[in-house]
Amino acid sequence: MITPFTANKTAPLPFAYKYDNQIYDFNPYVSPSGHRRKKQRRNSSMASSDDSDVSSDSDSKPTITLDKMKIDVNFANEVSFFSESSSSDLDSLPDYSDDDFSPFSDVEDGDTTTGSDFSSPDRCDLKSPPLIKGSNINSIIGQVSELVSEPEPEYQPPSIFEVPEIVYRILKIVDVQTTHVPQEVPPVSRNSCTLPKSLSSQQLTSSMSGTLYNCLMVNRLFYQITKEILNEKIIFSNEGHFNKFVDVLEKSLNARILKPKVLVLHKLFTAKQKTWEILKSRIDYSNIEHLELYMCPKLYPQFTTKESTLQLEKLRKLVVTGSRVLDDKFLINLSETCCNLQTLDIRACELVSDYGIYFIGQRCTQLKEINFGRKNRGSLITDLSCSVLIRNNKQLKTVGFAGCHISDKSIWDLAVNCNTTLERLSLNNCPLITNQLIPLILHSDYFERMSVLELRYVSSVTNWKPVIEFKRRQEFRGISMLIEVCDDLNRQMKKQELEMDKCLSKRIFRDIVIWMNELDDGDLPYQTFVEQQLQQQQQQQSVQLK
Amino acid sequence: MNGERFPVEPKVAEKSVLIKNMIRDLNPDGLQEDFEIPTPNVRANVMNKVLEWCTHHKDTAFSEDDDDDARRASPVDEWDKNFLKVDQEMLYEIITAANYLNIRPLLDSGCKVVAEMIRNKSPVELRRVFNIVNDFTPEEELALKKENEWAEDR
Repeated sequence: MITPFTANKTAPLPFAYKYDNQIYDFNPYVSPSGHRRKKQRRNSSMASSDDSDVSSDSDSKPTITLDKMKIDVNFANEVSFFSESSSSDLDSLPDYSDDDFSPFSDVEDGDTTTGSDFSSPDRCDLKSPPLIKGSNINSIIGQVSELVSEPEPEYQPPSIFEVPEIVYRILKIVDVQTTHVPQEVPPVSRNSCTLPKSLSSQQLTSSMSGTLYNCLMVNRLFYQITKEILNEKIIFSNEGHFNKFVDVLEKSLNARILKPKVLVLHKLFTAKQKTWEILKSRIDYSNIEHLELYMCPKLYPQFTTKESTLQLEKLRKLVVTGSRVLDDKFLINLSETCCNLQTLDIRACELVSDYGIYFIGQRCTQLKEINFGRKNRGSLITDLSCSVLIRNNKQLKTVGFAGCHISDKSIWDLAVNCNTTLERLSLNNCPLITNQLIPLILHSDYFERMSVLELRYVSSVTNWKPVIEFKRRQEFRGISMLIEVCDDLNRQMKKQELEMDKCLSKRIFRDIVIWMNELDDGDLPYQTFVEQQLQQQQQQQSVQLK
Repeated sequence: MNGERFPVEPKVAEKSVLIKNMIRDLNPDGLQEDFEIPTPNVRANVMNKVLEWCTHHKDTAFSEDDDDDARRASPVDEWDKNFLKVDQEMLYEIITAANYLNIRPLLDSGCKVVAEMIRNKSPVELRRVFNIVNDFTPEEELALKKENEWAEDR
């Protein structure tokens, strides 16, 4: 099992390895004396899993001293190396001390070592002490004291793969570079002349999947750190995996509470509320930044219990689309707990009405992206709530009102409040929009950053001239403007564009004609020009005759 | 470590937060004269490399935020990439030194290079390439594998 250390020079000396590894990565089953005992201990602890809790009480005491002795030994050798470097970036590091890496969780760490007051500079995790039966203690203590008295060989730094903070740093980079939150595929634009705008970061995903999983199985330290990183982002787009995950969570005895930053369930169409409840009971939402239930119609993502209304100050992005159960009550709850919300996407949640959105608009003031788009029951969302929301959120960048019964009033509010920030606006299927306001606003050159305007099936808009002019002005500013319309309107628009171009050409032609026929433009009048030509010809002829 | 000296400008040395803090603590009023900072644990040839990096980047402004996913996701700086084209032993020593001297951008670049080496490798390959000892028992490994099946596409 042990690979020879001579294979690569970077590996520390065997002696140092033994030392270092024990403090970084405490193995409850391996005693310093070697690996033969490991097997025995494993087996005995497996066999005696029932009484291990009882026995640990009496056995743990001697091992505490053992631990401390080991640590002292280590300190003497390493303090000069670590103390400086770690003191300054201590804050940024993950806390491994309360991490419960114990794959066989019946070995609970109900001991006092974790509470000991020394602050280990290299962030060793003081795990469950080895359950050492009385017969072994003496020999082990003897060995430890041997180690203490033994003179330290020349200093050899540990391999970088034994330093938790470096491994964490590396694996964190692996995570960020390989883990992708599943995203919806951008819809292919209907009119072929305009290309879909964002076809970026989609293709990268598949080739690198499984990288973290492989890191998980390398060794204990890697397992522990990778697990930590995995649990920061709970991302599932596969129902089988999701169910297995919840299953494992449910069965694990020592109830570990996850504190994810990201929780994304993508298209788990049949995931059940019961499964979600189990997951919910194991999750502490205090770190959550991004919560997404994309097309999981049966899940109701309530994250506050009756007794505690905790503030989820870090939550920035909430996406719950296509839910059949999400209601106004949830939104009211949300408005009370997540005041820093920036993205709220509740497309196709058809139970939601003005009532819920009004509360969001009253209490949330940091919103940048909202999407209330829906196919049915659009009459539930009107100016009543939307204009309140817009007036309280003046930095909106992306606004989706597709299918809502908002009128020109909300658009006008947008123009007044979010004039300089708005970039994308979707008004597909909004039946109350008239031909009055949009052409007027665009003609007056509001929304200088606008790059996407969706007006599918807004048949009341017929005055396309200001829209086309606006599009051309945006292109002049360097913003390639996309106007999404349905085929019918597209034809109308194209026709008007053609008319405009004709009109323009006519004007250009007229201008040229005027210029050409102008008398006092500095050129010779035609008559004079012709006479001069004639004169020149006559002169040439006379010269030839002579 | 070997008694060698590396005279450098303060600006270069201050890329190391450790040394920067040291200078600040020792000379709160600013540097008046030259002084020496011992850096044990860093071999001379590694120190040479690290100083080469510091000299190159003496005018580069790095972001202060340590926990920044955008920074982690960005690819390795082109110059750093070439700079870190060294044998594994040297790379590890540079990383260790950057960690000790607290030169975060160099540490990041080093870790990114290692992270790239991690991709698309099985656990067995990873252990072999990085010379890591497998300290799982076979039963344990099997159990953990089963327990974490859900993560196989992560």
